[in-house]
Amino acid sequence: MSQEFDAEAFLDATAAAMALTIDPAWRPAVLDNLIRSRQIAQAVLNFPLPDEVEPASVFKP
Amino acid sequence: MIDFQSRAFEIATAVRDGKISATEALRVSLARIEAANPALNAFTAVTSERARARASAIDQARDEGKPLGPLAGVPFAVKNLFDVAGLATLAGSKINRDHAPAKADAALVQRLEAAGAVLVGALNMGEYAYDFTGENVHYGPSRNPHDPTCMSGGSSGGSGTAVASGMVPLALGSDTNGSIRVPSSLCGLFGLKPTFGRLSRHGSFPFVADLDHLGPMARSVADLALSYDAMQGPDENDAWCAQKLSEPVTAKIDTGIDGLRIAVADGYFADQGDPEVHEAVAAFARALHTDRRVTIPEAGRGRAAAYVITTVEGANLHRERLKTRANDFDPAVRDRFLAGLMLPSDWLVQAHRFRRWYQARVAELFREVDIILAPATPRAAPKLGQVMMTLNGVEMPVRANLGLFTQPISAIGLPVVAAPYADRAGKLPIGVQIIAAPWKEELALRVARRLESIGIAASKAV
Repeated sequence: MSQEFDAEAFLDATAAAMALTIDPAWRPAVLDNLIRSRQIAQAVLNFPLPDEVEPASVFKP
Repeated sequence: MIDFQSRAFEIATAVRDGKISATEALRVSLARIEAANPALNAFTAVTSERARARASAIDQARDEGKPLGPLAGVPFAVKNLFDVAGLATLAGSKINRDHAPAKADAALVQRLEAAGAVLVGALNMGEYAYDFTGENVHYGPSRNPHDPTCMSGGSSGGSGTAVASGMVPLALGSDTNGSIRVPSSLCGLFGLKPTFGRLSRHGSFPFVADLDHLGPMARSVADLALSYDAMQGPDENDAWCAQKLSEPVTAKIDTGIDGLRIAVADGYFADQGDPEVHEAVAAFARALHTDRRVTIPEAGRGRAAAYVITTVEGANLHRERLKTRANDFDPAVRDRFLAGLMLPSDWLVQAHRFRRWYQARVAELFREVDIILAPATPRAAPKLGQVMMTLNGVEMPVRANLGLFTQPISAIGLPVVAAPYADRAGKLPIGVQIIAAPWKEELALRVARRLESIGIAASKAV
């Protein structure tokens, strides 16, 4: 995670795009969760995968 | 003699043999609920009228010489995300109180009752199953019978409380990231999280379609096997339910462990957690005469993938409620879902791709071993209300990290029996995961049964 993550800007932009209201009282906890989720996700995002690895969900018509 | 300590198989045998009636077995359960539930808060609804009618029908069938099912007269209860006809399916929430009452029972409730079991009620749980603590802001916490000031574990907390206190010998829970195995560990119970897709989820309130499992919690391996056998089989109403015929295990649990290759998980599973949880794993390994160790590759990333899938898909399920009724959520659940709703889709797809890679690596591991032992929780039950805990000198949130060891396993749908370590000398319970390859529930149950039969794993109502 070398790049700085502006959680405030991310929250404002994404919530606006999704028409999602974040009450100011909840905002700090939502920001904490965004930051923690991003930290955890890095473990998956930083792991190189071969192109042929497909998503685990399978749809059988 | 049947009392609150009795196991399901003992009750069923006594009812079938005519030593007690189903009505009497029900009376024992309802009396225990009345005595213990006010202090422990396991139940959100007791369906005594329905249960009396059901028990009476079983007694009448016996009087008429009709055959009784393998669970005849066994009282059981279900986490309140299972549909129970006539009750709103709360899933631990305040919001779902406004839902219409369920018209029919969940598939697994129907199957257990078809085997003779008697539903006595619905059980408390963490809101929308996004929880490892058993706490609930709307209904109060389900308390740990071994110490009511401590957590039951979640999210099937009421299931843990009800079985560990002897209110019922058998309960159903759900497990998306550890919600059967965590309360089983903290309450000292046997719990079975079957292979993903093994048991129908029809008629249960969902959380994460890709990861949700249902399963039993009990105080003996035989009870897990009996109830599991009664619940197996395909169900076209659950698109993810495998179209597999039932593979009964009850007659096989005592066939021993000769030839089974058993190993202890090292690395991720050995490097963190309180020393006492590793002592429990080591005791199980000694009893099974193994010193073999294996490394589950990239387990930490497996957990991360499950975390991302859970928070994104769980949030999506609740998106309308998050927009219209956000104030009615438990704040701790709401704030995680709101964050999950905003995460990039790329992260979700990558998590699913990683899961495929991880699944293939672990499948290779199961060519070398049959069973992997790992701790179920990183510690015994924390105090109710406890927000932070220290593991290996690192302070971390309780709520997210009680599932540290369960999450990498359910991430790829492996079957697991959580078994309670018997030798705790007055200390709070600790459980061990007995993990098998997909569709090999039988092997995990046989190992659990061996440990139970030699007394190194044991569960007792308190």
